[in-house]
Amino acid sequence: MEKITSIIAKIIAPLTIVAGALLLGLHLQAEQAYMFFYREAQQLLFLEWDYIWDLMTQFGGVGITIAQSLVQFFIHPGVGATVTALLAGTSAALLWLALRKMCNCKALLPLLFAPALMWALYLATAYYHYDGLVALTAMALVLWVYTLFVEAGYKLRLAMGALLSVTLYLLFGPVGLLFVVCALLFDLAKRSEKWYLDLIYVALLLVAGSYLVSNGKVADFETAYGTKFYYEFYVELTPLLNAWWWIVLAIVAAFLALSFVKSIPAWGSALTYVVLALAVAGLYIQRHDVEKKEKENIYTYMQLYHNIVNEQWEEITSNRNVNYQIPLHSNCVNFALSKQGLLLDKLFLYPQNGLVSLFNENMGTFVEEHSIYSEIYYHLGIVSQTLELSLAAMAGSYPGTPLLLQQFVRSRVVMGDYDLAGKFVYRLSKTYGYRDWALRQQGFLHNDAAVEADAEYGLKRRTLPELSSEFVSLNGFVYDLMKVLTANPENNVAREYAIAALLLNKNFDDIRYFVEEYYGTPILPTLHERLQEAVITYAEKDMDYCRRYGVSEQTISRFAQFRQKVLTLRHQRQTANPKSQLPEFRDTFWFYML
Amino acid sequence: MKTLLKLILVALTLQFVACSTPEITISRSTGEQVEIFPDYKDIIIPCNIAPMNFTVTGEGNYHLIISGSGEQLQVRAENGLFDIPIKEWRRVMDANVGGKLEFTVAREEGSEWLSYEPFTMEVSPDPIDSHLAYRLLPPAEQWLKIGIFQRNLETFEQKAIFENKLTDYNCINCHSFPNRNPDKMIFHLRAKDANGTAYIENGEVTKLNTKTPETISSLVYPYWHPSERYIVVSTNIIYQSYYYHSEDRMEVYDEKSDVVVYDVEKGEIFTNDKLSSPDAMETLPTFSPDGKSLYFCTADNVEQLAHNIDKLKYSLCRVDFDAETGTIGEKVDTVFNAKTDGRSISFPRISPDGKRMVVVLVRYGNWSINHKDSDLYTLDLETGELQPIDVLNTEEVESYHSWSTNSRWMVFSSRRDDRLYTRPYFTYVSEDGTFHKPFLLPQRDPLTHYRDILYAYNIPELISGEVQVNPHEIATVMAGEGENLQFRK
Repeated sequence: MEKITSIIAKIIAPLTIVAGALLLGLHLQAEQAYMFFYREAQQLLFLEWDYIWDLMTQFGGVGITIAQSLVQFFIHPGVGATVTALLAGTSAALLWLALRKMCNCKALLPLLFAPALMWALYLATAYYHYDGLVALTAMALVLWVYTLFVEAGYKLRLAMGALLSVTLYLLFGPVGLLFVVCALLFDLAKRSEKWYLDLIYVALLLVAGSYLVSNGKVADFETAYGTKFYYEFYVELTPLLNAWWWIVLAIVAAFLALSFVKSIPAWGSALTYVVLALAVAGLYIQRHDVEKKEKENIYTYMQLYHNIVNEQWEEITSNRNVNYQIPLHSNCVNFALSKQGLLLDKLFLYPQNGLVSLFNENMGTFVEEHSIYSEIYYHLGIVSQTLELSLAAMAGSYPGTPLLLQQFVRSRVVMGDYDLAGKFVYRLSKTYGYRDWALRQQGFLHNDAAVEADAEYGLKRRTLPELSSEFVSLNGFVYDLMKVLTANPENNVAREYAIAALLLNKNFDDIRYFVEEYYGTPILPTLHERLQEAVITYAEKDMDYCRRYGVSEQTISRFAQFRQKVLTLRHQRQTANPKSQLPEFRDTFWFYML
Repeated sequence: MKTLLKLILVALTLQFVACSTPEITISRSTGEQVEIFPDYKDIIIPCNIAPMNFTVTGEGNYHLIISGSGEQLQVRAENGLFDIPIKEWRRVMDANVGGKLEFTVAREEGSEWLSYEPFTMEVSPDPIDSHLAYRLLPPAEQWLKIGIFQRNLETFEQKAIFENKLTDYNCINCHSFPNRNPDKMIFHLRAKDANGTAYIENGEVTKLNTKTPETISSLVYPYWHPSERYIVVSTNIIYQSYYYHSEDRMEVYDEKSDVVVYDVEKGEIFTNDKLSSPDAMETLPTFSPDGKSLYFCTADNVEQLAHNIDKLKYSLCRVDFDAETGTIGEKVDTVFNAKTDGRSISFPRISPDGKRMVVVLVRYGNWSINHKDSDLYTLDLETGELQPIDVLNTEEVESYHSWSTNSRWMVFSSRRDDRLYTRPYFTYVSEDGTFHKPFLLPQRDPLTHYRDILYAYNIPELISGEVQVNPHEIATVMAGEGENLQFRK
């Protein structure tokens, strides 16, 4: 029995850490898989020595470089969750190896996951750098290394401490400050010789940080010494966002406090476990609640973004998390329908709220929106607007994202700006995930014949309007669509979008003008069923007109059925929700008009 | 310990041996022209310029022999790049001031070295100002990371004057120096918490709030009076739009603009109805080197401008300026009339010796950096005659330019290399006004640098020394309250 107890005592720590990492990994994969794809899709790491050297030699640059090096592999399913769980497990293990020297209290072991868990939660939103988790792991490593010198005499300890703190600070950022405070608490717990001289580490970091700030290498002291460094510059830091630092300090403080206790009774250990579990759960729930709505929206967007980048159109149209009150979400669904050639066929099978569901002309200024809308514009063949939006998005994401650089390449190839396209092809060829795509584009550079023969590029090039000094996006979305449709009537995507826009706008004057002006021309050779439904709606008393403009007998007959059923419902005074009584007409314009 | 020292000595010796270039002997000439980047063939360079490193754009082992009067220097290529040691370069240059350097590139073929046709660089005794200040920003006026930098033209050293990472990645506007004096400069920041104009004098930073109730915007495009007391500057309401399909891709244009003069000593700005007419848009002002003339570009207001952008044509006008009394003349001379010429003018810049004005001409508008047809012209101030500077112009953009202190050098912006990323080119201007074949700003590894950089060089301004200012000081001061300029009525 003693032997078993001894074995359990030995393996409880590694077992807890492995189990914790495993659980975290499974949780992340189940709940945040798209977050990792999105992380990867938002960064560009050029695998060139000069670029990496520049990255590494900035303040905290080694942490940034390691983070980006890891994130580039998140393009593969499961890698993000696995790497994050491994980092969390490693940081917990290293913290345990260091802190158990203060107090071998296994009851505190699960708490060592708390800082990494906080980071995993932060990462669920878009604006926290992966460097934070890497820096936390580096800090844990350095703290463990430092504890190896605790018995070595104070001079060697101080020398090592000074070296480690400055190195950690410069290479991984402000987490160095967290380390020196932990080191001080550690030496206090161990009653190390002249433990108070650890304040030298603090002084060294104050000097280093002051130098960096006063010489313009780092923006301000908040960035030099605080967690702000690990977030996007525009994120307003709340106490919750700083929690991971305080949690680390609280853990070390707990080990310090327990180091003064000779022995912890069994009930004390149990109580500690319960308190810790409650604390972690409480934090998680609080975080979860605070950002539940935000997370849902953003996480769904991350899913949609991933599906768009990977051309997974059915995943988009079947995504149950889509919030149709958010224009960007609806825009993505309609975009996916169009990509499947089903925009008009299935337009009204999805909730629509006017033109904004198809395309939000009053888009915000976020990188995410610009990226998606530039993709939609490219799909429509309005290439100049693709360029504008991808440049606008680039403004928020230096050196850009893979999708933006790809849009640059495609737009420039269509326009024949081969030197510029080549520049970005070259850059993408130096990345891990986009090298093959870039190499495939090389065949189009300075090769008009190949471009024109290509199904995608050729159509887009033929869709370019005549050279002129007319600005895009000046007269509205529908005007832009008509501009490219006039340039190339074979652009069926633009035609379907134009019809969808007219239908969603419910403006019968515009619909009538469109039909009467273009029916029978290459721009509108036939009337799609949905457009027929619109024509019969505004001309129900003139069937000759309807037939003259391409309304089929089938549509006329179906309209008669629809009309009859609506009249019956009205007669039966079942008008509270007539739509529920008309499921067979869900796909029609009439249903949308009700 | 001794073993360690020995190892270090051996390593140092090996390093020395590896670094010294073994000299070669050329077996014969191929008679072919060598393809190099940048094109530095048969140009005139200033005697104080940094090594003119270049890359042979072809596979193989290459060797370079630089020969001049009594001096020879040999350099072996690494991946086609000739990285000329700066000390050796300086020695060869010093020995050949006023003369010519001959560059012979040789290619290894088996055990032989075969030479290409040599080319020359003439070493002008006229030095160029030691530094070039420019803004580095992603093209098409978008930004996340941008900054104003200064490059020592005698070495490859680049230093930041100010980077927007210190002020939440805001936009940084045009910078300007008086008489190429690095001790004074002005530039504008558009930031949430640090919005305003930075005025820097001998390292001391002052924040100016330059928007007044009487002016339409903050100060935008500045130019200093030679006395350094005044800065003439435009105020502009600027828009940006993209074309459906045009070689120029996008346009930046003013909806409104005026010209005002900022009196540095009194902290006030003033104008008159010639520079701030409600019927016209005045912009891009400049002073003559004697300070007695104020030039500005002006265009009549255009109805529904966004729909008629090609009707926006700028003329060049001149008024008197009295620096003693701070008064602007009432009589307007039209130096270039866009209505009769049909083209549009921008960036009038007169050489410090007052002998010649160089301008930029485009079909319409004044954001010439985005106009493929943008070219540099000389403008005879007496006759108004325009002459294209053919040796500088290409089918792509040539635009913003700045003169050296001695009027012998001019730097200008060009997109000739890839159509989007503006780069600084330098040209020598002879005493008789002849412009010579331009050369690209030297870099240690120009091919890699210009291929990889995702920034455009914007507003290249020659300055006679290094700007001494602490970027942190700029950020700190700009985050403060600042001084409000007064409008003199």
